[in-house]
Amino acid sequence: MPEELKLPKEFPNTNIEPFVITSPKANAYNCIAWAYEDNTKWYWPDEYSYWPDSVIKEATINALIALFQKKGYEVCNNYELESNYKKVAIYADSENNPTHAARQLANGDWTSKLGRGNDVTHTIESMANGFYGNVKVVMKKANH
Amino acid sequence: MRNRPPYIAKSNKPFALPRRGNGGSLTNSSRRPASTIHSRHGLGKITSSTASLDTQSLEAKFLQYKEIWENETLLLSDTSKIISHPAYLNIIRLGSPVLPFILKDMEQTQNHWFFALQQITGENPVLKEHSGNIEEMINDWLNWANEKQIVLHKYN
Repeated sequence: MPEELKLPKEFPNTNIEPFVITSPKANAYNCIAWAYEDNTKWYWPDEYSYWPDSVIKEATINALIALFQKKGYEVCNNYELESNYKKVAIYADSENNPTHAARQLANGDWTSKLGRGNDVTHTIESMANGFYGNVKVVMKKANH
Repeated sequence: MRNRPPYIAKSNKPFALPRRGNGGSLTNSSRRPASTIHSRHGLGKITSSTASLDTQSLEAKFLQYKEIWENETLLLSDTSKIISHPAYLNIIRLGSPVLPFILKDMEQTQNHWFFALQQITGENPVLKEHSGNIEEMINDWLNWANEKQIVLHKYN
């Protein structure tokens, strides 16, 4: 039986749209890395984390867009499942500081690494208006 | 070539750590003057504690702050927020006597103590190419601790 993670204080919608835990907690990688399909490093634009040299090193939405562009993603206008496309969603707080990234799965659900916590499968709605703010940018790339 | 950050000004007192003693326990409990660590992350001065704590009290303090920090930053990916948490800064303020606890915890849990270690020691042995690879960063620090003959604290 899949284990659900309910964090009603941090994510109010998890009472109705829960997270499903898909990994143990891990300090080795974070949400940006997981969305980037890399579970070997901690990604953040600072000296203690991994950040590609060719990507602007600042904690901004534009920097995260540039990071995912490096992997072939381009900004799109919705988070609906589209066949033959992979999508990532970048979250930001009310001041537009990036807080989180999630990656869409083949069935339309999303997968996220919660900081140093678990990986979870979720919907966009289950994370809305919560600890990470809301989705600000969605990007997609063709599946090959 | 190692990418070393600028030296962070701190106390004029020599940097002294507990050396290997009987049973590997902390041997240095002498009173230390206040030292000021200048954070380069816009956190202002982080003044270390002047009070001398025995090993048990130091361990209790460390574990107390660590638990708060772990719980309240668990969901964060933004490193600057993780390292600026008050409980994390309180651990830095414990100064060099807390290093064996930090290093042991890092070895056991892979917690991200890199900024704290850098602030307390004024050093950064992490190779630039290891940035973000937590296991490699930890190994760089544990190798540094071994060279300095710092005994990692065994919890009671």
